[in-house]
Amino acid sequence: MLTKNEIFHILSGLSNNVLVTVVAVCLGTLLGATICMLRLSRIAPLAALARVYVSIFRGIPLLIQLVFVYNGAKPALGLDLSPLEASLLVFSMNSAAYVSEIFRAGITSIDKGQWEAADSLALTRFQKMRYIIVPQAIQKVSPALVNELINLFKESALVSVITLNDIMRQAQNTVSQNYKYFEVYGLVALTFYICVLTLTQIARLLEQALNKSHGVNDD
Amino acid sequence: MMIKLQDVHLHFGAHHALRGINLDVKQGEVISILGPSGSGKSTLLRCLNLLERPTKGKIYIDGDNILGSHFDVTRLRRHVGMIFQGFNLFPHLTVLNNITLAPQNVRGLQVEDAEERAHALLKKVGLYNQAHKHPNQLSGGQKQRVAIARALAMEPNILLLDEPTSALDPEMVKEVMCVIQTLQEDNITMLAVSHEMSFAKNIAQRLLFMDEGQIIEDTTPNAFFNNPQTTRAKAFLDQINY
Ligand SMILES: Nc1ncnc2c1ncn2[C@@H]1O[C@H](COP(=O)(O)OP(=O)(O)OP(=O)(O)O)[C@@H](O)[C@H]1O
Ligand SMILES: [Mg+2]
Repeated sequence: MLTKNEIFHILSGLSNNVLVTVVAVCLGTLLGATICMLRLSRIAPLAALARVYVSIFRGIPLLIQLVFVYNGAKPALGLDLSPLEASLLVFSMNSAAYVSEIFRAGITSIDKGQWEAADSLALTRFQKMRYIIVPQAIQKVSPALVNELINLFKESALVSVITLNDIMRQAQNTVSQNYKYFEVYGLVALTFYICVLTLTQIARLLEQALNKSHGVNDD
Repeated sequence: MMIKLQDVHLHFGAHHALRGINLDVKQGEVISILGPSGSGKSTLLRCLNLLERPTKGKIYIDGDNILGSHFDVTRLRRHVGMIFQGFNLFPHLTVLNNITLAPQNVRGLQVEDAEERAHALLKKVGLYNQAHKHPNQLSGGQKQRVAIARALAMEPNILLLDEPTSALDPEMVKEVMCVIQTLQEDNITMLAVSHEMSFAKNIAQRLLFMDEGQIIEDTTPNAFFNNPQTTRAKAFLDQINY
């Protein structure tokens, strides 16, 4: 069995997983919304730029992005990033790419009739987005956004590779001293599983509450 | 002349949907547009508020050349309302906010004024106590009446109606038609595509019959139903009478 100290040591790493996830979700949502706007803008170079951004961050494995940025920032840019800084940067930018696509899917899924009704009422492009399209799109994609949060949380274990002391790295430290592989990694696995189940449950309740308030899908 | 179309053509890619439309409409005229499916009725209406853009020809509304390259589309749409077959109410807004959104943001009305006017319009369309519901809590006929109130809130002088009752059960058609009938008093110019014969017979003063992207009869409803001139119109009438 693991000692209290060992358990505490391992679980204390969880705060870094939570930190990376929360920051990445917040910054990623803001940046993702911006990229989505660029992507849908009528200025072709901006739209192209956004498309390239998304394709890069979705096309390269997150693990490689992490290692590359953490180790490459210094020789390339003279930037000495700490493991935490590199993790926050990469996770936020990566999440932005996915979130922008989620938003884009939400916006393009809004029925053509909604756009036309807004047009026929003489709303400007901005007013149409602000009052009609975006509010409906956000309601539609909120389950996908929660899903993205869960994915980020699971993937946050990757930061152990660039020596950020998250739950996984704390576990590796512990195991190198006590060799209790089953107990240590079992604890990590169980912790992630419980967290993800909890998040999923919260998401389900949120979705139900949203659906009850008013149906976006009919009419 | 309030609306003037000169040789208007519209192509959807290779498909030639409008083939030389010429039309003059006077202020306050109520016009019914009939024709077989695919003849270009919706497309013609949608050109009048520029939901579609003709590929050739000229359209003047209130003296403005609306196809001019510097013409501000929202200026046109401020006074041209549209009613859709599928209502297109905004599902995330209450009935009240569906109606007040454009007056507040486009016409710059104060909230109180916009709401006061919205309540008056809801009364006019017979939905006085439904202001705080969401669209999904209404019947089809009620939705379409809200859509009419929403369009009227912009105080349009032209109203385009594209099959306003086609998605409704028969008993609801009547309530919506009654509301449309009351609009005559407001001297709004109306162009309606409607398979509802009561509109053509009781409300419209003029009837356009379209076929293959052209207006092939431009006459009164009475003359059209009793004495159609073209074989296409005769065939069309035979079909709807059975
Ligand atoms: N966005 C579009 N892209 C391509 N073709 C279109 C488009 N909209 C309409 N059309 C075509 O143009 C023609 C005219 O369409 P329109 O909708 O104006 O007909 P309609 O007279 O309103 O018919 P209905 O009675 O069925 O509503 C049709 O052949 C239709 O398929
Ligand atoms: Mg049509």
